[in-house]
Amino acid sequence: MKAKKKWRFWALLLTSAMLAGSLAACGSDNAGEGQAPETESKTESQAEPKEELEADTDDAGDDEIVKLQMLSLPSNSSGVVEGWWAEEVKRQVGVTIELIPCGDQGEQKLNALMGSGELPDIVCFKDYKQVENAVMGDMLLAYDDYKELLPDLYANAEIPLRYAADKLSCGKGKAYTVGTDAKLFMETRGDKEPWLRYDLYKQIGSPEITSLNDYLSVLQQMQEIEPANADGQKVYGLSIWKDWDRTFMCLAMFAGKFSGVEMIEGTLVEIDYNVNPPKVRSILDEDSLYLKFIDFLYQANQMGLLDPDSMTQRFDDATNKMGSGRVLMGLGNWGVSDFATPEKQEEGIGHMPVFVKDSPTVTEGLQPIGRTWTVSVSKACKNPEAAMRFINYMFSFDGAMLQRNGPKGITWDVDENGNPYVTEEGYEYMQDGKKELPEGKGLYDGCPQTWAALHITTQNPDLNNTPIGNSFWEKKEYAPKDTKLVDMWQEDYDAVDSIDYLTKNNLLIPFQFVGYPILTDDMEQLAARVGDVVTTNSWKMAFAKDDAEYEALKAEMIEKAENIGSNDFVEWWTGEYDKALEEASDYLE
Amino acid sequence: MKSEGKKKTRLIDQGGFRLWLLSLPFLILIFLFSYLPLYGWVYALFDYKPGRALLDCKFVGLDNFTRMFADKYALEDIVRVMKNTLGMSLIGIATSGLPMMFAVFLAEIKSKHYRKAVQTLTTIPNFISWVLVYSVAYAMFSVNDGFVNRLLMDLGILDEGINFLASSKHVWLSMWLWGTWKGLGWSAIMYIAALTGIDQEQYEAAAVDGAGRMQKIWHITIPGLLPTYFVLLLLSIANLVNNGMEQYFVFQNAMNKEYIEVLDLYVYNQGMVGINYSYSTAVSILKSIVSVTLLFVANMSSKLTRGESIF
Repeated sequence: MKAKKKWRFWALLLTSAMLAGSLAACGSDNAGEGQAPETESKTESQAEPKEELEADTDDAGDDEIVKLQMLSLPSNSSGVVEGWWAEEVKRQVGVTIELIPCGDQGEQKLNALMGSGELPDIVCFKDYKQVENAVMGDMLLAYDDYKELLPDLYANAEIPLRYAADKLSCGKGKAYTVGTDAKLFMETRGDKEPWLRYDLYKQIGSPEITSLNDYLSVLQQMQEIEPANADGQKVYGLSIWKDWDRTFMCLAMFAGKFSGVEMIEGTLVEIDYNVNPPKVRSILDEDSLYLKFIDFLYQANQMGLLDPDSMTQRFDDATNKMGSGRVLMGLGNWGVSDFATPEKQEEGIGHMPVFVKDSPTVTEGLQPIGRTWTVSVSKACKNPEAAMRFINYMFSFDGAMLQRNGPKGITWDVDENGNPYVTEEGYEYMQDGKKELPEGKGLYDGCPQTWAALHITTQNPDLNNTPIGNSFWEKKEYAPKDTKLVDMWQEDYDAVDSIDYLTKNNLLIPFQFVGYPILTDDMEQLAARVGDVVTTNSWKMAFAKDDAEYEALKAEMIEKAENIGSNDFVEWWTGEYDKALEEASDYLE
Repeated sequence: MKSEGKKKTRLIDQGGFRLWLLSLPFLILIFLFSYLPLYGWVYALFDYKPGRALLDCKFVGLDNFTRMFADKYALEDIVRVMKNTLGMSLIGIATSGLPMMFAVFLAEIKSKHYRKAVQTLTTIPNFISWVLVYSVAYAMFSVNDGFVNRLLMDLGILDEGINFLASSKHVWLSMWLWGTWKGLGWSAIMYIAALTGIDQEQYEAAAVDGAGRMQKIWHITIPGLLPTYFVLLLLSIANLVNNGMEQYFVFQNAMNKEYIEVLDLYVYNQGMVGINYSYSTAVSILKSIVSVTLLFVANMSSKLTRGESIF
């Protein structure tokens, strides 16, 4: 009997252990796709012990530190946010933020989470359709139900909230989300793309550029002067990546900007601002800038200017290449400042904006309802009060000043007249992004690379209505002088910076203000299907062997896209856009 | 009451009941993980949108199934994807003898330390995730920085780097190579276990009869491993359309997409990327049906030709 009992005991123990084991495995399996949960759990386990300690020490106070998970689609970093920003947020609202890794598969992750029925505590969506789906699935909390916790949000984002209640609530009439970065004033300073290695450009005699394809011969001459960087690695004219592609090759959007064309992510249309009134057309239209951009890439590849690893590398790889001086032209400023250190700039080396002559540059216009990046609190959030406190802080002037300029008293301060100014120390942090602030992390990487609540042009009433962004503040006498590189550029263009130059020459066109049409289910699917064809063939075209292959791929792409229904989409979208333009005036005050 | 209590003890004393109890946890697991998910098939009948309750979505009946054949491009896709799936699976099946050969030769290594070292080194890749394998692949094969291209260029064999990763050539073969590199040692484990089951006396008898090393392998080891081989082969035929998606997902790009998109990846791309969950569910149902049919056909032919079957 005894032996039997023992045996039974062991059998029971073993089977229950196995059951528990397999169930636990299933739990972690359901957490998400591929490698992501692994890194997530890693950061969690690394962060937890430390946090427990902190929570213990803080127990003396009344508030405990709450960890909130944030899924932010436009986010370039992940893990628990640490450093000066995180410390200040902890002090202000008792919250730490853990960013869920998004990478280039944010949309897919969001879809999987939506399918599971629960979203992480805070979500930043990328387009209105995603918001609508989440509202329809009853997954978000309405800000209107927490008004008393959100005084700053309601004071500083009144129009975005109204728009969300009117248009993004599936008729429920409450604000479930709020548009970020609402812009009520145009910026007066700043730089625009494209960025060209200015020292080399000057060496070849600053040839005039009159069209997109003119950059090619310029890049070729520049490449001849500098075929390899200091480490002997090959230098390319252009290095691009596919990470952000959705319905088309995403980097075309940036080439569009300096060619006066706005391309709308997730759709199949572009808006041409070279004509008045601006014209909506298909990205596959024979006059489309999108196709011109693909042709540009194809020519670049034929001339040996395009990084052959473009199709297989990631954003980080490409940015690193830019940072190590291996890329001559940047369609955006990614990695540009990593390369052009102040020392290099003093020698006149670095990238500066070089525009197509007489071609307008489009820029974000006034957007009182905010960007399509909107922020919501999930219904599944276990501590909605903390999440609301955090949102309110982000939308407060204190929170915005922290996010845009760093901690007060260290990187910036307020003078006796009540105007903000950058401190001497502040400039050091700005010039050397790696220099650590007292509470950890550099000025730029200490802040989560994600959405910003208030636009840099937003005027702060507490500080004599000075805009939030420090580039608009008056400089103190100790502010670093412009580098030789910038001086050179300023002399050549007879302007302070890009915006100054473009404004003087009447070349800066702001986007029309409009709440972009929300795709219907059918249209979303249609765009995704056509988009698959467009993206795949665009990349193939860029790397086509010869003209014949290029033309064949192009014909195939257009034929397939049209047969699937790209024209229906464009027609539908154009109609909706016109409607939205009419409605927009309701939100322009 | 008393009689009931007696009955209970009697039941627990029955050997069959106890065995059933022992297997119960596994039955529960199988139900949970293999049958319960079948409930998800119902999504193919609706126009499902993530976030909404299923019953709030439009009921579309068999639309998603008919679309696979009615829509010209969908059909083209399915044909292409099936071609890739079967093509790569068949390469895998054609070379399914490799792990067996590997195990046989491994067992012939005299030095125990060396043998163990080889076995460990070939097993480890199995535990490296595909994402990491891809980053290794990128570091090795990227055009101007990858060390393979750099080596070839430095040796003067190439003038310009070859873009191995973004190439539409030999996709099936290179995918098979990556898979083999990753899985060879792991798949050999089953055969290494089977090797220990071969009666040592047979070898002794063969030695007495004057058999050499190769003869022993050919006449004793391999016949001893064949039953294991055939069971694994049958199972792999059932998995013919089931070649997973991670590997192809991380390696896919515009150039090789035409050849690399296998059924599982297609289902993922249609569902998660193309936001068409219901359609991709329908495609994956089709996959299950094909798998089951294949298994029955393979099992039957095995029964007819070898008199062996898995059930």
